[in-house]
Amino acid sequence: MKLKRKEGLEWRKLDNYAKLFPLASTKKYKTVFRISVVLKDKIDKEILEKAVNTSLNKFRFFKVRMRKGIFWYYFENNFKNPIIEEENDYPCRFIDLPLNNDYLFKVTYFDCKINLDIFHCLTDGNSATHFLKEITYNYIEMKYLNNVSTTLTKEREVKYTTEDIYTKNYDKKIKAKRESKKAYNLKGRLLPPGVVSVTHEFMSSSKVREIAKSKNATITQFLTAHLIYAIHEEGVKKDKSKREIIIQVPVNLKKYFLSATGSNSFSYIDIKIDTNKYFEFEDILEEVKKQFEEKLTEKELLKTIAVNLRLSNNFILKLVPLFLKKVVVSITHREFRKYNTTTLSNIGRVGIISEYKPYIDKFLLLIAPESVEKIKCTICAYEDNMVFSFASVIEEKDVEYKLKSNLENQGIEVQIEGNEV
Amino acid sequence: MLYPQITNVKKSREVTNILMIISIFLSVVLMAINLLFSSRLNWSIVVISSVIYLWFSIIYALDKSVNLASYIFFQMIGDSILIFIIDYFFGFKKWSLSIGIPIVISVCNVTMLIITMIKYKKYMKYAIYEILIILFSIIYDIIISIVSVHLPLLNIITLWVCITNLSFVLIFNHEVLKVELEKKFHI
Repeated sequence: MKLKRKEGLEWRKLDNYAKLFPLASTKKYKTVFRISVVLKDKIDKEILEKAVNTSLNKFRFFKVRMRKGIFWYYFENNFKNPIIEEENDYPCRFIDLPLNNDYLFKVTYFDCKINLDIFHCLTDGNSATHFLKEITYNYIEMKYLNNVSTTLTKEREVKYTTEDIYTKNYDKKIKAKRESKKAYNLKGRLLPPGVVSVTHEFMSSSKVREIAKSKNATITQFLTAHLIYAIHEEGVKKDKSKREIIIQVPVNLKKYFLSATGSNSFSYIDIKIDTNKYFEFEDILEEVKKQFEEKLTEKELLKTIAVNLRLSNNFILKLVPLFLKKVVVSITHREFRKYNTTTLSNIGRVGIISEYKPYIDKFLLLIAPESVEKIKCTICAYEDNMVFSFASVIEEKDVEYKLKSNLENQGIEVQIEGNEV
Repeated sequence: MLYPQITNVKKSREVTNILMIISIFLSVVLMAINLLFSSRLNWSIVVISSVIYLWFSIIYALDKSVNLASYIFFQMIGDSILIFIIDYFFGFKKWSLSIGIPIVISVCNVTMLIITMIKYKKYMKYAIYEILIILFSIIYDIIISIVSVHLPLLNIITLWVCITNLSFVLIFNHEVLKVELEKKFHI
């Protein structure tokens, strides 16, 4: 999918996953995620502005605005400069495009932290991390490093395409069905509209890895099991629900299919736990491990792609005008979201070139929660600092505290910090 | 500190709950007094509907996703209806049409004019609602002039405020307005 010429403007189609996001998104369902970097020094606004503009010259992919076509949205070049502001609101807010010079991302700063909020239709967590890293590198160079060696510049070279990884790997012959079983949804007192409660749980990467390894599990499997156990103890048991706990775990497709795309390149697997069958953490962990092994294969991921693309490739649906698509998709997508209890996204360890490391403290990741999936969870790590983050729209923090106490019971020291909502 | 302190939700919720209990208590007391001294429920209904209207306004105003200009527009409509109801319940002497509503319209127009000047960078967000406010004001004055033959003084003032607001928009913000209208009505 290359940029196309149209009346002097370059434009491109949204990838097949991205097509869904602007159709489904509303002010309440934002499809926005945030990746932040915390430096060791206060942020200088002017330098940050320069760093963002320099980074955009390299990541032209992000220098776009979204326009409405008759049948689909599309991206075209954005000639304005992005607006950089001090953080003065809750994270992962709906990005009001006209007030953001039409950019699909928003850079804010607070104290030592740089935030990058991104509308998911533009890209996924993987490419967003690369973009934030580039901003951080440029910022550090402009503020602290005078002469940057060519080796460093070369090390930072980024090559990306705008190919659609989904269309490329879509196999019409694959027969698969979308599951339609409602999952357990957390109950709680909703916070006022627009308010997002954030809880970061900081722990040692090496300690988590060590304990997970002792149980023959990966970090994602281990923490997924812990999350399920916490939801089981604090949600399912209290609500006496019989429904399954379903955790949606996004998967980076670039690990399975060769691609250098900057567009969305993720799929997901659903980890399902029958709440009437599994009660103990060890049993849940064994089941989680089993499901990861079964579902995290090329064949299974192709099935998920096929299910999702079958709908957007439907010829009749393609001809439906955009405004009608938006009505239908936003209603149906609300139903689809009921099939998950929550999402747990692990972007793994953020690798930083050693010369820049002394200036960086940590990275944080958040996904916008909403009224159906009331909490959304993320994991990211930098050096030995791992962060399990919750973004929530409910007042109760029982699951967050249960996860903390369960991890501490297994010998992992956890420190909590949040936005004190 | 990783995040700015925005609001303490629990504390503000407690305050809201206390104020709501006071509102309900006052409404019940007023209704009882009204029934004690008169066989008809009249003035207490006006007070209670005003309290309900006040709460709707507060909840709408506290929704952070609401556009400021849309808030002013809907407030103008709501206030006008409420004033009309009050006038109607107290014998319909038409002061709502010649005094109440024109004041509301003038205040909204002046507010929009000030907001446009202060937040000129965000004008694109307010443009459509400002036009709606101006249209409502002009249509209202036209209807009043048709109904009452002579336009009351306050309505004439309202019309001038409205024309000033419109002139400001056309002189300083016509480009943004044009783009916004094109965007909203493109085929």
